[in-house]
Amino acid sequence: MEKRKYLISLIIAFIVISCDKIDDPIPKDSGTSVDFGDTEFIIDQSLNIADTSELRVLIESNTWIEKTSPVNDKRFIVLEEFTGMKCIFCPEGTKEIVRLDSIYQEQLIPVGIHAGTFALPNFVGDKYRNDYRVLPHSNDYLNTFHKGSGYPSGIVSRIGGIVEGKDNWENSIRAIENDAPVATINITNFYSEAANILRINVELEWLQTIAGNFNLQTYVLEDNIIDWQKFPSSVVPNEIPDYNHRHVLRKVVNDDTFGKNLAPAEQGEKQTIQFVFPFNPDWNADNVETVSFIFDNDVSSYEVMQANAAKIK
Amino acid sequence: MRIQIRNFSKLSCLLIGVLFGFNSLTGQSFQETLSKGQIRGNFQFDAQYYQEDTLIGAQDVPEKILSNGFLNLVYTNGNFSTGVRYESYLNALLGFPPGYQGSGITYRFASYTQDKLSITVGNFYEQFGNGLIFRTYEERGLGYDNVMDGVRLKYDLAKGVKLTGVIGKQRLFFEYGDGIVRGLDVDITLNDLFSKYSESKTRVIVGFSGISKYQQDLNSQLVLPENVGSFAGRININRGYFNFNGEYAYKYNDPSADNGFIYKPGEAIFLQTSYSRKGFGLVLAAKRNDNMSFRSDRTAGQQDLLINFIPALTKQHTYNLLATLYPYATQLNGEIAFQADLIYKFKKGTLLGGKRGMDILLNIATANNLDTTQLNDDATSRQGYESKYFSLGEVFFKDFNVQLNKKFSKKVTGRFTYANLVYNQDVIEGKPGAPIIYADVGIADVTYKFAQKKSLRTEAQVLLTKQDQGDWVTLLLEYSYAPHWFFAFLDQYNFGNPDPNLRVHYYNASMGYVDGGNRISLSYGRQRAGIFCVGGVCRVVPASNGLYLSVTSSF
Repeated sequence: MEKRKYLISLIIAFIVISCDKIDDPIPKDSGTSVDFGDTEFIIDQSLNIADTSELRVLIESNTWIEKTSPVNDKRFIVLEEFTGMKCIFCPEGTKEIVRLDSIYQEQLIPVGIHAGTFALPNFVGDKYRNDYRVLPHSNDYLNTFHKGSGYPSGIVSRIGGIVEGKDNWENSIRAIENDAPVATINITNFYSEAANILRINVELEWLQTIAGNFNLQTYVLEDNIIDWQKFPSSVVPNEIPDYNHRHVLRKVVNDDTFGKNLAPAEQGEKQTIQFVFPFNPDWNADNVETVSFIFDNDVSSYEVMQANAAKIK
Repeated sequence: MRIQIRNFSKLSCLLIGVLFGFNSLTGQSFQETLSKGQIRGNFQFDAQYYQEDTLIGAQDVPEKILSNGFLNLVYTNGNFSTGVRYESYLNALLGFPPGYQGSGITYRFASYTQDKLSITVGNFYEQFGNGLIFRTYEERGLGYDNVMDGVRLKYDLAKGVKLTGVIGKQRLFFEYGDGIVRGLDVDITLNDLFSKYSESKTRVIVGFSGISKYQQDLNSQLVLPENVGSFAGRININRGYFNFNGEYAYKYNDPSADNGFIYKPGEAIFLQTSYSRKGFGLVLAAKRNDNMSFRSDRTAGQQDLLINFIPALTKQHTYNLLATLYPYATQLNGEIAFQADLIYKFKKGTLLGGKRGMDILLNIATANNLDTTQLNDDATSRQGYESKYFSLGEVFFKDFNVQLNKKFSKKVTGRFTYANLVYNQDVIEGKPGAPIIYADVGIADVTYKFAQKKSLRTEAQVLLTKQDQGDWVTLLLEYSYAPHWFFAFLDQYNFGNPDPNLRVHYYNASMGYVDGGNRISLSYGRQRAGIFCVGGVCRVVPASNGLYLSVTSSF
């Protein structure tokens, strides 16, 4: 009888444990949308703010560090690079990004997306224990843009929809660097150390009327993360614990893998959206910056039309 | 404990020996141990030289020659066994999935039984109950192999109680699928478990099983269940000539490419009862499955990575017009099917039995869609549809067939078949807008035995239909010179094709030699495009023309 009890318990436990019941299959924006003046606030649900009065209390009862993005007077360019701590050739990609950054400065916005097998953390030992993937988004980007070429690889303003090797990045940047901007994006970050909350205010204005359906994508990046990195065996030592990981994607704001849909792009059209969410205490606020960009959400395009970035401190 | 260590040492020694060659291991004890074992195996090689034949749509094959080869080796020594299978597709014969390309070891295992516990590591095939939630098997003719790679444990928990646990990934050509499959099954023979019923004439076996698959959710458009569970309960009752077999299965939300990523649970019920005694057999079966496609990769299609098996309730025909023009393929997304099988032997000396008796085999099978109502809830709960449990939807398939087997004299035996088919080509073959096919088939199969070793078998088949490719006729002459030789000539003629230019003869000549466990056959001619099915699982066979060689051997 005892054996039978154990057996039945085992089977029931097996069935219950190994099954995920999904009641709501459609991913919901993690934020609650609140209209306040001319601004649409998208507020992380964990903050429990559902109306304008509660929002006003949050804003007015805290002190905010305010940082703004540079003037968006030309077409800014986003370079999304796929990388990983165990990707032995990726440091060469980072060198190229640093070089390009020194040339194009604020016009170039690098994003380091840790994704794929080279980004898998170790589960034992003391090396490569930190997981810098932002799941499932990082893998979604990898699956969407990374069609079989090796690392280091990156995609310049998502043009063509497919990543290319580091030696082509500069050519791709040159091809669009002088394009007239179709829109401006101005970011103002409000960071409260005491409340541990970050507000990203994104103002966009269309300078041209253009056909298409556009989304707004917002990232949080952390620069200068010091952690393990592997190198080719020809490099001595071929792994170091204090590698400087640059512009690491830390959060896809509002969990929108492919952004928030925008109103039609008509000249003079303005839209202001503010994302409000808890600041992850694991991030070093001194090195955090936010990135916002508009891209064509047609799956055959994905082209980034305009972008900007701002520090939070 | 010492015994166990010695046994496992022996196990690893044998495994290394079998897998990596005996030469590297020497020593008297090893040789002695090895000599107590037994090796069995079988080999199969099929190759075809292809010629382009535009009239029948036989495509040009750049390689000219394609081949499939297999070698199975199984070594058994007491409670231990190990084995490998080598497969070679250079490149795969036409009609086989393109994933079969190259050569390699696709199956290897080691198995050991110690007291009540049996352990298998590596590849294994397993089935829980009727397979409604779990069945892995190989059907080489279909290119179907969903074998597990992992660990299986079997344990005799108590008298009459057997427990089976499995975990592993499933084979996908020369790789493995993304998902991990885990499962438990308990099989209880009540007569053994409860000693007071051990002598009962009524034997009752019940079983319960659970299967769960894990696959990571990398989709940002939907919240997908990474763990999908299913369970089933079954009962088998046997008393004298009577047998009853019933099983119910339930599957939790499993959005997949098969069901259009809906979250409706799946369920299936299978009921079969039979009565059989000398000269009479009756089998009645019913089945209802609703959204029961279950794969270890939610994006897989075709026959790839299926975890479960929904039994087909249609007769598996063997005559070529019946078997390969309009065979039924089980519809995993939903169907209700019934089948009745009657076998009756008219005794010698009766009016119908005559001097030597006569067998009649009657089979009726139907399969219908479920009666469903679409919910149009793609943007909300994504349940997809509702189905009425006992109501029938559109017809998928009907087969009424009767066969008479009659021995006319010592030299002449005959087998005569009539079948009436209704075939929903739109659904079964996925040809939107194709009309339902109504076909009548008549077959006469007569064998004349000249002498003790010599016989001539003739098959005359006709299929009449106003739809699809129209009427067909087949003639087969097969001469056998036992025990070694056979020669055959076959012609299939599509005399009723609506397009007069396609009223084509499909000639084929073949010969073969059988010697003990070896069989070699050679054929030349046209192969009609068709569908090859085993147990409701089907493969489309394209038209071809050329020389075909087949070699099989077993020892």
